[in-house]
Amino acid sequence: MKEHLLNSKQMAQFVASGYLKFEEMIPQDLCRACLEEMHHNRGYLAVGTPFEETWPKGTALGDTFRLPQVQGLIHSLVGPDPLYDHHAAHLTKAEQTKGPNMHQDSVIDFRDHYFDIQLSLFPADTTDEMGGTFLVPGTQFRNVRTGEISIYHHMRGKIWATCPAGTMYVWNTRVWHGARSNYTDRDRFMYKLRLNPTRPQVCNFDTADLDDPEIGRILSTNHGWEGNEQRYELMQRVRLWRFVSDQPNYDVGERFMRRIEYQPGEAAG
Amino acid sequence: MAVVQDILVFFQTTPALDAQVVAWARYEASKGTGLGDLVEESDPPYHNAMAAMRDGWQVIQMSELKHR
Repeated sequence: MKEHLLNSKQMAQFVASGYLKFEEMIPQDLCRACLEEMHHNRGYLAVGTPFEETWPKGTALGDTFRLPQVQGLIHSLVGPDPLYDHHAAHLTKAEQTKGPNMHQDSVIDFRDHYFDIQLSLFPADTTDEMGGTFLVPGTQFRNVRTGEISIYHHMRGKIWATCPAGTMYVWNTRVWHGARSNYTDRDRFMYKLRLNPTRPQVCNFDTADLDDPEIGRILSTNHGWEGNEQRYELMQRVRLWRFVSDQPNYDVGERFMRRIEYQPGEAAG
Repeated sequence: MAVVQDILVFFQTTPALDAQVVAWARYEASKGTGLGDLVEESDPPYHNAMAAMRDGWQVIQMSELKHR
């Protein structure tokens, strides 16, 4: 398992941007079998039950999400013994166009120091013209009511899945996202699986590089949409980084968090 | 067809008319009543509201969408 864990810099990137991308993580033969199964994969399993007990065995999709590299990814982000939340095979048919549909998955989730993950598997080559799922990195700290953000047709920093078959995206389920138009004559599939943690998400990743100074720079990523709010967004990320890395006093820059936490009375004892 | 409104919406993180545009939307009644195909745009058509004003656009302020 250890060789498949995220390192600290990758974890910091997840905290800052809310997603990670792993190209060609799933072998091609398994991708082809998954694609076949996805045509007949409907309905939810038992929501809120242990993933290992609930997730099918002996199927391509069952095997895919049990691959060591996928298990390492899951463990790094939500820890051991995750719960199954839901799954879905999302299809954007050939020539199907999409209007503005940016949304945050319901419902508004105010839990501090907590996040669910969503794994998004692209089982076939997904070109720009095929309209892969889009995300706006860094928006996971902005809670909104589902589709009200469809008013933002275009946002600085928006990215979308353009990737070879077998690519896995993993993202914080609060990241703003949506579907794009498919201008090709091929159907486009994305298979998603959402998981919940069963214990506090602290140091589940490989912490060998926890002191790497690059982490501060990663947390400070400017995605383009933050504008005047950049520093406040950064403080949100630092709060989460403190928690997941078990460093309650972690800070960045000229110690921005200290400016709202320093109390002269407490310092004087 | 009657002359109708085309509205270009700029979203900024501060209210100044020369503030950077971080998101944008087009509601062009001259082209229809819905947006069935959103074509990607990498940059806003103007870098701020004043640049749009220089190009003849009239400006109104809209209510803010509050995040929670």
